[in-house]
Amino acid sequence: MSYYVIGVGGSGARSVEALIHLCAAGLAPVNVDHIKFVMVDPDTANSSWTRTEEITKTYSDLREVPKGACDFQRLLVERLGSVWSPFGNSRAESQKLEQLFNYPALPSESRCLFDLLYTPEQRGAKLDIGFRGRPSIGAAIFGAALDVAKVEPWTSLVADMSTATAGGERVWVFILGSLFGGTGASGLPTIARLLAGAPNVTRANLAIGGAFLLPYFQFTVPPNPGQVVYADSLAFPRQTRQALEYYGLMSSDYNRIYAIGVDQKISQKSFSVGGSDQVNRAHVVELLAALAAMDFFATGAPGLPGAGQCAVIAREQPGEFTWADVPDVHWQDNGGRTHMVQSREKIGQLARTAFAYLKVFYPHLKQALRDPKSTAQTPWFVDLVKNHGVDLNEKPVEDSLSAGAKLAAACLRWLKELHTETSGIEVRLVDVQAFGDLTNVREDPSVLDETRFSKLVEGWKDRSLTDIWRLMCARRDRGPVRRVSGLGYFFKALYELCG
Amino acid sequence: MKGYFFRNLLVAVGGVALSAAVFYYLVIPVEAALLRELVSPENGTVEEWAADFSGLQSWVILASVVVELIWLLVALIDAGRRGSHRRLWLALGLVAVLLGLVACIWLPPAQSGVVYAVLLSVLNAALLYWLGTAWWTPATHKYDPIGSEFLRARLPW
Repeated sequence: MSYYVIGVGGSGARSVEALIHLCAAGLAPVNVDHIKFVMVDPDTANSSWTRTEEITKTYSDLREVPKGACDFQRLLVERLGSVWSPFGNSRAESQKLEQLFNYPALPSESRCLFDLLYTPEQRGAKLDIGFRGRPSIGAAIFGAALDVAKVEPWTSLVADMSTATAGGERVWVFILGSLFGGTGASGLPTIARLLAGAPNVTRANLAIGGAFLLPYFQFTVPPNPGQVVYADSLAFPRQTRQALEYYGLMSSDYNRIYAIGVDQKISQKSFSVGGSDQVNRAHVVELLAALAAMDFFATGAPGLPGAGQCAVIAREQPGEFTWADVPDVHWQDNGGRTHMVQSREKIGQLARTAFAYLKVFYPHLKQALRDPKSTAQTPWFVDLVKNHGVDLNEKPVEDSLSAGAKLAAACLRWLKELHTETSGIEVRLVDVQAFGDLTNVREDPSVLDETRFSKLVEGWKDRSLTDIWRLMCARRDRGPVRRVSGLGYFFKALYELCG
Repeated sequence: MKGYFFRNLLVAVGGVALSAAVFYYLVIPVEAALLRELVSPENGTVEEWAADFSGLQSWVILASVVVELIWLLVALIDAGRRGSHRRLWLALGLVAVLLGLVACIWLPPAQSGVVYAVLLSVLNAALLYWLGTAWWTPATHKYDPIGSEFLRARLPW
């Protein structure tokens, strides 16, 4: 089976980021071993994508070199190209809607229709930083630019899909984006429609799911925003309602839709029309969207019980978001037995692994690189690194260590943002008081409060970082262990002991 | 973590006791038999001299075991996150060797061959300390004793 995830717009980018963290946490159903991503945004400079691209690359790098054969390395994550923009390579020229449709050369009837649909300001607004919260602009551009027969990465994607579905294999596509802004709201229906109707794709073998994010943030537009056409969060609820009505009234190409929202929206600190200035932090809604993708891959096959039905989940208590509100992932194996992976257990394990690596083990490995004698008698270093033929001076090994630190720092920062970027809702998943200022955590791990380690996620064993160190020293893994090599022995041991 | 401490303590104490028993029941009798051929006592028979040597060596074994246990306790309590304690291990080893040497003061006088007895006494103290610590040191400091990596690589567990 083939699995594809398409992130659309800034919210899509952050949901894909959450999905990568869940992959690293080992929360994917066991049948999923390879996910391909497509990223879509006219605003390719959006900092959310920069972050997501970095994390995807780091995760892939970390998976490739130190083979550890443990849950956090199980999934192969592959990015199909970089962020795809409907403006292609011409985005630098600051495209406008009227240029894209060659407005001056249109027949007069078409121009009249154009004038009816778009105001002069909308026609003339530069679109290199997105659709500025206007789905009507985005839908027209997506429809015109996204030619699955000619444009990469869509041609490769559709070719893969048609080969797979023609051979009777099932293909799963999950699309994530917001329903209230410009890019997501216009991309979600258009992309699904184009993929569902793609040539040579057997629709019966294609399952399309979507996580539609309802308004979860707002911002105050300054008196003089510097642009005439911009996203206005006051319009988000109205736009969302219209979009939901569209999906309710029209026949949808989605086999399953997850609509995810929040009653108390967060306030973004600063207003930006787009580009690298637009920095939106991670939110639990995106975590739920990523979990929706896992659920879809596990249970969303057409024809399974649940088709045509509507299920609703909500928070257990108003005003707070706890592990009781985070769904677990269930799936059925080929024998029909149901399995469950607990989100709390897996995300907690990832958080502790990241914390332990950054606080204790990465500094030691760096020290070993500078002064090999300093770690010559350190048991875990001897047994799990040196004796498996790992030479820290080799570039790929050094890169893997650095990638591990990058991914760990990204994971802790993401978890911290989940807790801090809220308004009126107290998120209580991880004890982020233990994290401090993570800006420079890879170089300065002193910001991590070790005394809080065992209680990072409530309900774990009473095991301190020193205990983890002791257990690492006691671990030998003489090997050879199947599918494990090099630094993989070290990462596998650390991950398993934090579980 | 109780399991970790209990297991390591049990392995350390059991291992040290086993090493001491091997020395007491196998090594010392062999050494005594060897010395019967090499030593000429000033007073009494060579058997009596060898019996005195064996009795003295049991005290050397006991002293070495005490030093070993001090090391094992340190290694069990300290997690080793701040680095190796090889210098402490060497210092304690020196103490064990000195005790083996000092014990020779109480050897009965002999006309010749006493140097072999002194050498064996020092060797017993040093070897017992080395084997006991290299094999049975708790996980966090298991490679602090010189040669332990080589020795432990040959352990089946």
